[in-house]
Amino acid sequence: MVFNSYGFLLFFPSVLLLTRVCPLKWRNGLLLLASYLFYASWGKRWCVLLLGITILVYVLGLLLERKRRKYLFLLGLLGTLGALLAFKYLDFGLYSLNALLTKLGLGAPLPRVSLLQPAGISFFTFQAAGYLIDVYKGKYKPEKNFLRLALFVSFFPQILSGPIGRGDQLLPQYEKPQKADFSQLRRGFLILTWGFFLKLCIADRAAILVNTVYGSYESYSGIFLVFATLVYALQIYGDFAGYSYMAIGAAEMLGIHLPKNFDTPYFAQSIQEFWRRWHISLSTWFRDYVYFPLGGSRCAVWKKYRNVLIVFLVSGLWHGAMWNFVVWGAIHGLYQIFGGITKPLREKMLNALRVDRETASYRLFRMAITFLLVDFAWLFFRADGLEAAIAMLRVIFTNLTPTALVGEAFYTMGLDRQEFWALLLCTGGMTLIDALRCRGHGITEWFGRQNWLFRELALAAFMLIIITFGIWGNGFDASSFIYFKF
Amino acid sequence: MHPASFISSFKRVISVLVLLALVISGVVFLSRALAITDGPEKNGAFLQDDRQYDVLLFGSSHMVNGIYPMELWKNYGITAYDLGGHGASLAASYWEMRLAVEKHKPKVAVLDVLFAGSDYTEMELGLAHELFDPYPLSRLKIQAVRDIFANKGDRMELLFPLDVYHNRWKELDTEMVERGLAGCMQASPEKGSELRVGTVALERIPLLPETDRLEARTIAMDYIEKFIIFCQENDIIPVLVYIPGQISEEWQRACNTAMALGEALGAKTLNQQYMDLIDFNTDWYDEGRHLNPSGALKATDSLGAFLQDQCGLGSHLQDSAYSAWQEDYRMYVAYLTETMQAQTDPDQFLSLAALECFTVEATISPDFSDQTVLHQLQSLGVTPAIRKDGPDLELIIRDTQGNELVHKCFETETTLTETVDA
Repeated sequence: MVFNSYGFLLFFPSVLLLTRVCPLKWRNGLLLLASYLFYASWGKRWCVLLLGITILVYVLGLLLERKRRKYLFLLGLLGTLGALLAFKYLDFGLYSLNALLTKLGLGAPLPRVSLLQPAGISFFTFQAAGYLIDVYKGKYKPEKNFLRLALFVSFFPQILSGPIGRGDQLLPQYEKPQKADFSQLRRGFLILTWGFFLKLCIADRAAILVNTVYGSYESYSGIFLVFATLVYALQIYGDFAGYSYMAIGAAEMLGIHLPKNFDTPYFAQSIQEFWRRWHISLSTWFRDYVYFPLGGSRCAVWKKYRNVLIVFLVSGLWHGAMWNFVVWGAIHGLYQIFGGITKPLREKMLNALRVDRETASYRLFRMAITFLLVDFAWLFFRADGLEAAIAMLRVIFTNLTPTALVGEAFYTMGLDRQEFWALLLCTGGMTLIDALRCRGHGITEWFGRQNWLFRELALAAFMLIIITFGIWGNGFDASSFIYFKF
Repeated sequence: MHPASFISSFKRVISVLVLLALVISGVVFLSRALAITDGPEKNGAFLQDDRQYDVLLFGSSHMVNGIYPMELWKNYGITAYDLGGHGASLAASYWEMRLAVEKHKPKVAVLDVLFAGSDYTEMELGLAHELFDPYPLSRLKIQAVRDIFANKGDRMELLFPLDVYHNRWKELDTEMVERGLAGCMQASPEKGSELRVGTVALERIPLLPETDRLEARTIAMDYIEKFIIFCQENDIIPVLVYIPGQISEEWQRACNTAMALGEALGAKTLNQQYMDLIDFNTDWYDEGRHLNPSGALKATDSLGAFLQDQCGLGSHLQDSAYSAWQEDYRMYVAYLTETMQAQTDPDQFLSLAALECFTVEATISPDFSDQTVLHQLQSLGVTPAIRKDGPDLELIIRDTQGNELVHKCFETETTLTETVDA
């Protein structure tokens, strides 16, 4: 069951209704049941794994409170992250070792194992591991109520693709459950609807163009690949931010406040800032549980750069057990290292040229450069493997042919004229809203202050726009959110 | 409750209701505007009107193209609607009958058994839309769609057609917007049947003996049985009809089996395939799958006589309560006239001219040898005049008032080609 399915359109209102009519003390139990039902729709057997991980972190959390033993902590990490390693990386590891051994002339002696990957494993194992690390460090006390901890690990809006929650943010909300009031319900619904807009009107429409070009990149000149990669930036943002908004909106309606996961990332003026705005819950997870323990930035400069590179390599690998993801992570790490090394020089140049850093044009310039750097890395992220990414780059640098992409040529990439313009218009709408949010104008707050009739008319019109212009229905493969496979 | 709190709660309830009303109205508008119109135009009128129908016709395209309700009215005073659907499986026909009967309960329900040999319930999804889209969402429709289609996506698409039609926003025009606002569309002047204009001369394929039947029972047979039993339980006379068609031996066996099954279950049966109704030179539209108007008139006439004799249906022609049908017939003739004027080929003119509302005059050259046209003229009872110094073929077709509708001349080259628009 995905958010944009008829199943969820029945499931979610039913859960919402039940949690509102039943006594508040039943809420956690109802949400836990709903979460396991939701997860079971992806495979009943994976519920056993989910339950196993929950029991492990529950027991170890309690034991760690009594005796702060490192082996217990490591056992917990092995149990949570070990499951992730086994299901996601074992085959990749064996494949890579075989490839290395073959190059050394030793053949490929290791057997391959093709394990099916449980949905959302990267997310709920990170959430569980984060809880255990926090408890071990004494950041907060372990949860003694098993039901609450089980809900923390499995809460259905976030189990498949985050946001990755923290114990100190979520567990208190389960301890003292509160019904969402009318303004929370409205706010949650608005966020949910915005998520649907990003996913159905932008991401899934952009996906048609991107899949067409990336699927047969050999038959396009370089400028088309560049254009498709620019559109992919839209697709992945619409897809993942869309999912996050749906999760946050649904949770808000159930009275649970989830952390923000995206904050207008394409308005970032540096790569560092981009990572403070993109997939915030994962970035902060890596910052708190990998980067800081490695020494963070409070060490020698070379060590800091080493730490940055390690974090981004691991982040790349987290996104997928393929070398192109590792390269994608490495590119982002190198961006940051290069940015750090050249910062004094750039500062000097700007001072010498007397560039006013407060002007809109300068900020726009920085945004554009950051976006292009991010987009370049997306090529590795989207390509079907490292070889394909390199082959595409070769086409871009040897056969760019910019003049090929004029007039009707825009409509030869899987979207006809109307679809293409619909994508442009929806992107325009999204950019406008994001620009307003970037400047501190909260659209949901502004909306809440309007006359009620205007509000209902505008919301109804927005929903009808999604219904009409969204890519959904029988025959459309709208079910696959990009981040589900991570 | 404090008054301020009460007002606040009341405003919230109202705002939610307003939002719901706006979204539902919008969805209804979009569903009407963006829907394909084939089904609603063909069968929509049946669901919108308050008529009494003696007969409802169900089945495949053989029924749609082979039986003309307005000819049943004209010649027998029987009121009928053709609810057949192209490619409709017998399961689909059974469920459509259930849905239709909820709106108008007829005296007789006629089922064409063409697909009796099929071992599946499903039909092509696009054609299923034509069949089921006119019916509003109901428990029975959900039951029908669930029974016919296994795929969940297909089911949802049929129950909520906007699922697939929303993508037609690109085709939105003024007419579609008007349809969305008004919610009704032009009624079928043919009462659900569809003319297939044209003629193909065929060699007759041999028919198996009527006793040659299938050994195994098919899924389609189960639905024929359900059809009969439901009709009997609801005081509707079930009639199975085997409409002529050039079909394979396997299909012939299946149809023979279906007719035997019908008889065994107490349904009335009309086996037109073995009645030698059809002239293979003049009555086919295509390769023996569908009848043209000339052939359909014969099948319709045979069914009319059967309904009168075997089912006891009387004529309403003189009944003033049915005066609306006379008006419908005038509309039907006007539609036929328009259709006649839109044709281009001699075989099309002559296949349509079989309808009673037209008369034909023909002149041919002494060398004229097009056998299809000659057979058609002969079938119409027209003896062409022969003129040496003129076109190879000159056709004049008039309506019942004697107005000239068509006056065209043709020369024989490789085919008959129109020369002068007279």
